Order: sequence, then C-alpha cells, then structure tokens
Amino acid sequence: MNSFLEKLNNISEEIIADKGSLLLFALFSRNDQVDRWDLVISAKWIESGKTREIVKNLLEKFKDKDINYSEHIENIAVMSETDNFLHHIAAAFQNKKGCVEKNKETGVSIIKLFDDYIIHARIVHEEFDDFEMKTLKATRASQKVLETVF
Amino acid sequence: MDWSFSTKNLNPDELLELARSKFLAATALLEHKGYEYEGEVYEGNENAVYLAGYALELILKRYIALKLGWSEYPPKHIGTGIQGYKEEKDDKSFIVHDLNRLFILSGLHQAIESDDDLNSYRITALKWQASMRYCPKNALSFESAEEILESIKYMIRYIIETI
Repeated sequence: MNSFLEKLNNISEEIIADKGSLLLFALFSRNDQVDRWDLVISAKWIESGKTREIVKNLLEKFKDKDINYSEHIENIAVMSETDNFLHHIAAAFQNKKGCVEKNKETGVSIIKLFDDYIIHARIVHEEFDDFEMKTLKATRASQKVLETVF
Repeated sequence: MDWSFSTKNLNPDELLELARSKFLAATALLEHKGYEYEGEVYEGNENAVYLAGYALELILKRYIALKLGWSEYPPKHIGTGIQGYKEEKDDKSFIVHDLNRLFILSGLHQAIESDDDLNSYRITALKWQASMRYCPKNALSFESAEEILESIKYMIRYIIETI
C-alpha cells in the first residue's frame, strides 16, 4: 500500500504541475472497510458532467507507471467543486463542521462529520484552506448522500 | 407479501424488456428536465440515474444468465434452497445490486479494464449505487446525470453486443 501511495503522490504532483491545482486527491474507505478503498479526485478545473475524460487520463497515467490500480482500489470518483460530498469533507478539514485526525502510525485520517459519522481516508493531497463552502445542512439525508458515494 | 408483482425469477427476455423499460423511463425523466408537483419543481436528475442504473444491473444479470446457461436469474437453486441444493441456501453471491460485483461475476471486467476508454465509461457508470434511493431531491446536476446516463447506455450497448 505504501508504494501505491507514493505513486499516487507522484501522480498528484504531476496533475498540479499540469493543471495548476487540486482540491482533493485521496483514498476513502469503502463502506468503512479498511481494505477497500475508492480514489477521489476533485479540482476547481473539473466541470460537472465532464468527469469521464479525467477518469480516462488517470487510467492512462496508471498504465504509464505500470500501476495495477485495481489491486488497491475498487473505484475512482471524480468530483467537481460543486459536489456536496466535497463540501462536507472541506467542512471537516476547516474544523467548521466536524474534524480530521490523522493516525501517525497508520497514516489513516479519521474524518468526523455530523458528530457521529466517521470516514477513514488516506489523504494524498488536499487544498481546502481557501475553499469557499456552500451552506449544507447536516441532516440524516446528508449522511445518506455520503453513503451513496462510498 | 411481495408487492412487486414479481412472482418468479426473470428469464433473459424479461430481463431485457425490463431493462429497456427502466432506461426509457430514465431518459424521459432527464429529457423533460424533471416535473412539477403542487408548485414545487423536482429536477429529477437523481431519479433518472437511479432508474438507469437498474437497467444496467438487469442487463448484467441477463448476460450472466445467458453465459451460464440459466433459463432465469437467479436460478431457483441459488439462494433459496429449492431443488435440494441446501448448501446453496445462503449463497447470495448472485443476488446483489453491486454493479462492480456483477461486472466481476460476468467475467467482463478484465476485457473492460484492458481498454481505458471503455473502462472510463464503466467507472463513470459505477457512480450509480442502489443506495441512491436516499439521494435528496435536486442533489445531482443535469450535466452529471447526463454523463452517468450516457456511460450506462454505452455499457449496456457493449454488454448486449458482447453476448
């Protein structure tokens, strides 16, 4: 896993050099199972409804670097900056609603949302300091939105 | 009591017909940009995707049934304990709504993963999950829904042509 994370880190650096920025590049546990992960990528330059090309570019990068991505991740979720999921995660990173605690031994971040909802993640890159959030209601329905993705 | 009016497991033709019906309903919902009820506007994008995802699920199940020579999906001995196959009573492997798992069960995933363009359609289609039934109204943009529907349609075509 560590070598895969290192390769993901190189890819994130390449994307930033090419496109200028990335909001989030991270693995999120699938249904909170520690050995099942989804890769999430989000950036200001990603437009809603134009995510398939980004998936394709990532797959090409994996192939170029000889990475068998399906050994480590189950799916790739590309999100524009308007995606509700991203705003919930940003709220935790900005300590507005929720918080993020990183386990230094395992490298896994525990993202706490809505007081009682926890997502485990391996953050490769995040840039939420200046991220402008929409107003989101922390409802049970919001939790279900998160579950629809993971 | 099962109120779904589904009294038996479906054969491949019925799966195809049901998939077509679900996908057409999804397309109509998206094309009409939703609906209005008692003065409130429902964009319906998430509902369109929700229906379309089931169309892909049904097509994958049809593919599996045809490949394994089953006259219906799932065959009665799987997950039901009927026909004396007691050891398979608790086998729910084929009784799933997980598209990723269905791609694996179909044996198509390796061929798909070797083609980046095709795989990008599959991955985009996998934004659908059965739990989208909890998706709040107007939570998905038209552009996102359109892209997911297009990807689902592409994968349905591929699976049908591959049989």
